[in-house]
Amino acid sequence: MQEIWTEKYRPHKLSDVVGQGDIIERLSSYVRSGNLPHLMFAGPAGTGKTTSALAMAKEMYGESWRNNFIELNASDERGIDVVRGKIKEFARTAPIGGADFKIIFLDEADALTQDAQAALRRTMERFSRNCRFVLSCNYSSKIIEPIQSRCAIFRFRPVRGEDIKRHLKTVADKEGVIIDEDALDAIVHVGEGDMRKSINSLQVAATIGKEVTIDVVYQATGNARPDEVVDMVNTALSGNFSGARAKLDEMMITYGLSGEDIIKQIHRSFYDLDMPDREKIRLIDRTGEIEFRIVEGSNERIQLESLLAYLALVERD
Amino acid sequence: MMADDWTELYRPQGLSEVVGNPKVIKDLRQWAISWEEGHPVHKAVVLMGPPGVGKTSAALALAKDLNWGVVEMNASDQRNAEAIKRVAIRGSRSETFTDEGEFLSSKDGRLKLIILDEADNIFGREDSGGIPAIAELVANTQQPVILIVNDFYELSRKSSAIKNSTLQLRVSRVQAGTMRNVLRRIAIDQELEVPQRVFETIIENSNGDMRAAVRDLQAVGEGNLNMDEDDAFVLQSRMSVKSMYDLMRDILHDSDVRRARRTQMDVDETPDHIMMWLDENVPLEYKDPEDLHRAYLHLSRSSMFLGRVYRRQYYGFWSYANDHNVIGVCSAKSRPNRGWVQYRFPSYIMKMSRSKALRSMRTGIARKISEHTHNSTRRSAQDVLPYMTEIFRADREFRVSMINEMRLSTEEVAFILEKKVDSSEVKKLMIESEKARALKERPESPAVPAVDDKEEKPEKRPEPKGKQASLFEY
Repeated sequence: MQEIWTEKYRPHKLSDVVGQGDIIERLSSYVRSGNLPHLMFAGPAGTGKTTSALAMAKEMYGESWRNNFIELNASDERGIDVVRGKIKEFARTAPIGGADFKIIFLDEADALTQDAQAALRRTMERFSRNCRFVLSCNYSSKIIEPIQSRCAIFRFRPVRGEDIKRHLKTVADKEGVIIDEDALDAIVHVGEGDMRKSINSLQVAATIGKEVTIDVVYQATGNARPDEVVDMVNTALSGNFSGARAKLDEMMITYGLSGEDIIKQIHRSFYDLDMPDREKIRLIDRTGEIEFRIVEGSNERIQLESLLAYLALVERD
Repeated sequence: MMADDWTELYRPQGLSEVVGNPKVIKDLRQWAISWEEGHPVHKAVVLMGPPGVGKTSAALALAKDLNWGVVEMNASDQRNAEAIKRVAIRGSRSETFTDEGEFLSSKDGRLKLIILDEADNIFGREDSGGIPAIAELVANTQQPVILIVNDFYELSRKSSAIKNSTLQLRVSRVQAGTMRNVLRRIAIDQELEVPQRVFETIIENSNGDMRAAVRDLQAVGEGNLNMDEDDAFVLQSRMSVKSMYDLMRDILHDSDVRRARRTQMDVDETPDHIMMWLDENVPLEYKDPEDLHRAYLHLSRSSMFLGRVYRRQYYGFWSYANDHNVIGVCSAKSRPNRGWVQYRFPSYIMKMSRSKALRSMRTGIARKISEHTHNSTRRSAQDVLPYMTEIFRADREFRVSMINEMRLSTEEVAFILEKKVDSSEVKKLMIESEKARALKERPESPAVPAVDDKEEKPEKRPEPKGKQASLFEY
């Protein structure tokens, strides 16, 4: 094993992108026509947004794709000024190899604040003569309307289980890993339609042994991603507030998870809870209120703790 | 009269003047004698203990007693590997100069005590390589070395060399009786009449910190020829930590909301700080889940008002946050708790500051991953790092290849493997990946004349071949 498999097996051609049939067809026709509108790729993690953008650039520009394609990350680059600076620099020079325009891929565009997005909109206008923007985000609704209206929006859906399975099998074959049907199903279940997560799980499982069984999968994913949030929620529901809080601290401090990440996982964990739906929706509503308070700028740890205190109360009656 | 700092003025001039901790003083003296005789079992001593109990004083006093020179570095110096090497190791090898530049032949050259003050402060800064440098120093020094730390845990966790090759002496808080004697001696020397009550308050507030006690005595005593009992209260109100405990008791233990409000107004603390204290201590007092839940509803609201203060920079909302903190939380209990509870300083603040180095290490690694995997740093930390860690620990080939691809540093590798930086496992691995890289690079660098091959320094790494990195350099 020398590489991270998600990189090793990242498709280079649009037609190899898994599970986004209609979108891929559209993108391929852009490539054929040699023209491109501004695009927005919306969808959850691991569904092929970045991969599609990269593959499209490679098909469009061939050898010279690196000269005509820049990848920026809105959550990493500090502030819109840095993003704009890089875009300006990149857009200054003409496309290479006879292309009409360059492509600017802006990942996690929904990480930009409203103000930053407004600035981005002006930048898009300024450089649209020789640049096309591909924005990627989890939710298109977090992108301001003027930008949305300038883009063709593609919604990437969670990859279907059977598609993930087929792809995992291909990878396993190439790596000489023997994996049975149950184990594949287990990875798909844990992966929740996220191809990156699924391949990562497979690779971790393969380090345990060349024969991957369902037990190996759960051992592997359990080691890498123990379900701490579910653990915390159950501890709170059992009435042990302090125990739940200790787990919360561990996640926030040691693993550096943000309050927003944790509250989303809490929300998701409720679907699997064994309790009446009327009760469940009360918990969910409360969770939404807490997320609102976090987003509004209050102390996220205090908010999460107040949710845990609420959970500690629920099971009692 | 004079603007002398009493903590300096009354610093012990010899080991016999250092108060408290007789066993530590004895061990320290014995260690020094072993150096004088030329056969130290441990080349370095670690003095560990809370602030103000005499660690630095003991080290300086020791040097004075034995007529040793002193080379002192503390946290305000640039504590990186270079600086330590330059000052500490060179200072330790050259036996012919004193720190004043006075020439001595190496034969009768005095020993030179090297004091690394606040050695635990080396963490969480941009001075990687500092720990290996300290480890090297304590192993190879030709001169006695004293490391002074508040918290030895982090340092010993990072380096087994530092842990195993030093003599560790734990300096305890100074006892009240000892402190009283010292303060009395100073009062006599300053010709001050100090009421008993003032002494007791100072001692109580100091919590075993001799330096703090002397500082407080100077604060109330200097130029104050007619000291009376009221001066003790001046001191007490300055000690906000103590008042915070009072406030906790009033809010959490008792049910007198009006008194709790009064205490809150006397305490000079911001509502966000009070909220953090309540957050830490509410679960200790409110055992009934209904009470606990009610209390948290108010903390949650309080925190929302604080968020608004922050966003709008409008401090008018502070009073609402305060009322939720005090009235809301106090009235949330259905009955007062009868048991006695020891309140605690907010542990979250401490944990966060302690884990700062850890977190920045994680972020650093995630950033390298993100350059490699078309991801943001945040997503890499959450979605890739946990898996990569597992594969990294399990697969040798993967380890070697990732170290080279992502140019992981020794510290980062140790972090991922949860091993010490100077453990043999990490060392071996770094050597192995060094070799693998050299092997890989050779055929790929035809531009370099073959003659230069030998001279190529191992630090010279090529630019990463990763796809995204090259894009960013555009």
